[in-house]
Amino acid sequence: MKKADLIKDYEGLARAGLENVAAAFSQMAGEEIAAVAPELRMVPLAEIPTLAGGPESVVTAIYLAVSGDLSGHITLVLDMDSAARLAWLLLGVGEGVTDQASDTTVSKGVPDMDPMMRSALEEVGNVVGSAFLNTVADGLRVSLRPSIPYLVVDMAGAVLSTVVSRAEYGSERIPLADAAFSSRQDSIKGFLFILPGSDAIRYLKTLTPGADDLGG
Amino acid sequence: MEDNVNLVSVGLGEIKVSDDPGTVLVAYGLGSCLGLTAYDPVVRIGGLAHMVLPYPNGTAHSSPGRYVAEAVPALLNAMGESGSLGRRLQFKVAGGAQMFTFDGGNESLEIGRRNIEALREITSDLGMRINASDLGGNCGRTMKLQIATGLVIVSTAGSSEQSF
Repeated sequence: MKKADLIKDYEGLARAGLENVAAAFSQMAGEEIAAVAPELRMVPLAEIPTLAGGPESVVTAIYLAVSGDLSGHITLVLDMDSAARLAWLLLGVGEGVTDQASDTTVSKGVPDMDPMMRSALEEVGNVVGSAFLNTVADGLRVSLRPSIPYLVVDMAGAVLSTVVSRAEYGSERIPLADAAFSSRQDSIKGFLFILPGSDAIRYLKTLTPGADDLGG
Repeated sequence: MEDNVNLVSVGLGEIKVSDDPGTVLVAYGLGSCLGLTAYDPVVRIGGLAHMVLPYPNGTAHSSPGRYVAEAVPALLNAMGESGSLGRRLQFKVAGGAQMFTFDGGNESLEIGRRNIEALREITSDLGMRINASDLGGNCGRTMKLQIATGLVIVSTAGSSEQSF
């Protein structure tokens, strides 16, 4: 089936990109962070907002828009504890240390995140997104650029549905490259979602003639 | 309201109508999307549309609630078919947030704002009066419609909750 062909043709590339993300992530965190179930799959649009631990779970999300030869959308979703731990790790302060970085109110409602933590986590999004884009750009021989990272703390469903809206897809099902990421003791957990833009889906279709039921 | 209620999730692009007093229709995590409820207080029938984008782009699709321009009339039809009366309907709307602050960004990218504008246009064309709304801002919302009472409850991640 042609539809399966496109997924088959690019799943290796998507997986390589997600493994590259795990390597970059690990390097930043200073401990091994593995990609769990990295894959490229067709998913119903309506399902996407539920994929990061439930639509109402409050998360830290870092979003990057992709431009260049092809467009796309990259969203890194971290649970609040993981986001705080990751930021502390990157800022070189211990958990519970009374200083600027730990002085943030991450546990109640929508946190007013410390600017240093914000900046550290935006950099994580940047590094992680670039790791994926570099793999894909090399594989497809195209030029891809990430936007500056946008960090938001809110309901996972609200963030992901907004990302889906921004892509303005016409079809019900689209190709999604995603993986869960987890450190050994589960101290850092997250999800990465990569949605190709409609133009990117069309481009991939032209590389896989006959694959005409691929959404976008 | 969480005891003995049947929470029915209305996903992206869906429209659901219920006449079961034990049911609460809920659109979880509205970001730039809009939730529109319609309620007939006499027969106690309510409906909720979870709208994603303002106008259809010509591609065939099977989500009646995805586009504001199609979802509003589709919700009215669904309400009519289930026995409610158009002139009795109360409408409430929530969502349309700008989730990401794009500094110097292109306004056309702000789906939330475009959704709100489309809703104003469509409801005005159809002569509908919106009874209550919680629109815009930059927070995600969950919107619930209690079928027994017509009460709409909107909550945000900051745990603030308001009903109208």
